Amino acid sequence: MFDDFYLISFVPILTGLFSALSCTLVGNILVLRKRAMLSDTISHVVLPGIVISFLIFGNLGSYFMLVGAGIAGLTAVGTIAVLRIYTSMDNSAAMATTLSVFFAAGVLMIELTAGGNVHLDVEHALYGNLESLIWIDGESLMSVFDPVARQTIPVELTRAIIGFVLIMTVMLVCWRFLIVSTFDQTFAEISGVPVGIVSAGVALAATLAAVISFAAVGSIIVVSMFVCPPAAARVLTQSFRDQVCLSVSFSAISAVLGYVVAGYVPILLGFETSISAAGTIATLSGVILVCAIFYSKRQRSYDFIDGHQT
Amino acid sequence: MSANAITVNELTVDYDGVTAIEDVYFAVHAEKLTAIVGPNGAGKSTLIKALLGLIPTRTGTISCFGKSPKQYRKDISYVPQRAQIDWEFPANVFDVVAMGLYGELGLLRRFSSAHKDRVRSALTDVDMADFATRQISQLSGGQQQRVFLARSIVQDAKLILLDEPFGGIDAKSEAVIVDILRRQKQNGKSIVAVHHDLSTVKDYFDDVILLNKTVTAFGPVNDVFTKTNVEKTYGVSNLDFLTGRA
Repeated sequence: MFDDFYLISFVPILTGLFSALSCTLVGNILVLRKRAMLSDTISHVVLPGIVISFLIFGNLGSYFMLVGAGIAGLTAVGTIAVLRIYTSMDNSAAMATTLSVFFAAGVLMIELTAGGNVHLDVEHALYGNLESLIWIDGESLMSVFDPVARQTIPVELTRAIIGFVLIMTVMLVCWRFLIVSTFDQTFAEISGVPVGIVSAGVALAATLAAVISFAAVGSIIVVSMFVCPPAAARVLTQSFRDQVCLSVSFSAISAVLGYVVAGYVPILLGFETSISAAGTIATLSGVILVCAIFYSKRQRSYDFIDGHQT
Repeated sequence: MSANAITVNELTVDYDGVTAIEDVYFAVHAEKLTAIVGPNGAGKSTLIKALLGLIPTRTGTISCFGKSPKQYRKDISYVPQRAQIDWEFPANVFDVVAMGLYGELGLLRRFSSAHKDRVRSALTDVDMADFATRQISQLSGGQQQRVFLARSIVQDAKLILLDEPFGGIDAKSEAVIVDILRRQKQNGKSIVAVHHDLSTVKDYFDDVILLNKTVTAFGPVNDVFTKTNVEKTYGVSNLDFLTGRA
């Protein structure tokens, strides 16, 4: 059963992995800024952008689709700002309104136009289509070094890697500014940190991570990878660097193990078909979070000192 | 006569569409401890934000050591209210004090051993050197305030602005912090603090600015912090307990 690993599993595992890592990296910042809801919003509002691009350009592989999704994401961020400024709505209400209306509009557009198209339906918007990322010329690991075989690697993987490298590089370079402006915005501003640019950069990185991951892995993984691994790492560590490292490990474990469990365990157990990889990956990240919370509660009950919560 | 750390003239600032402070003028002497005192809603926080250049002003001028707001940012260090901070943030005491150097270091300059020494020395100044690796959520209110003071000291700014440094901390910690501020003053720093407790103004501070949308009076506490002036600022007339401590 592992004979066709490079044909059917290699690309989905790596695409899931790099998508998950991008979302988790940005998620660390969002969780600390109490803006985790932003990831939920962005991963849903990109749908109408993707549908419109698809209608205009006819396929999901085009980079125009990313642009369409990006524009939808930024429009949503603008809509949230307008709702907050011109109505008395608070942040979470503005986000919830925006995400549901945008997503609903996307669903309507799909139903009214695309109809029976395999690549674009509501199910794929939620679950993605990881399993469909087949590498036609993938025969062994050596195929990666074969220029001809490499050309048939699905574009989703290339994008996921580029997005991950970009997000990681920017995050490492801006590390100090991210920390100080997240911890104490006023102090950061007075210290000369461009806090406005940092905030816009975080929103942009969240959009990039969500948009790149969305088409391949669907909004369920996007949302869970933004929040669950950072939240799990958050309760286990007391340093931001450790939190990021730990969350990235959790994210990688969920992505790889989730795919393997979904793809192989049901078959090993004698079932005919595999289960949804996206669903399994997201569920696994939730399980890790629950374990982390229980583990940290146990630890905390030992370290309770001086009446201060540890 | 000592020079002025801050000079404010005819300053009017709108905040959320309302005039928060109007036609405010005062001078802060260098190398003194100055309190900004006034009732809730008097515009104290707005004044601090304006001094820090964080909000636009409608009219008036602010200068700090003879410089305009854009030029003097590096001369000012700011200690926010403790309540505005998420103390569950994953950082220890050393990390927080090191943040005082991030503006100076920028993104890419190396955090050298000289920088580490500066952080340690600032922690020694506030008597928190033994707590360097302590998680910030495990500190008492007074200790958290001392960490913020160390972060401010490490910036080596000439003026330190504090927003209610004694808010929600016990009397013992308050005495420790006053002592730290006095030592900083002796090191040549000018210190301005928003202060709430009228009974300690005369004990802790050299000068006072009485504010209620406009400045009622400013100057040395012994001349200015009188029953008449305080009653005028607060708009009430039962503050007799103040004179008892004069």
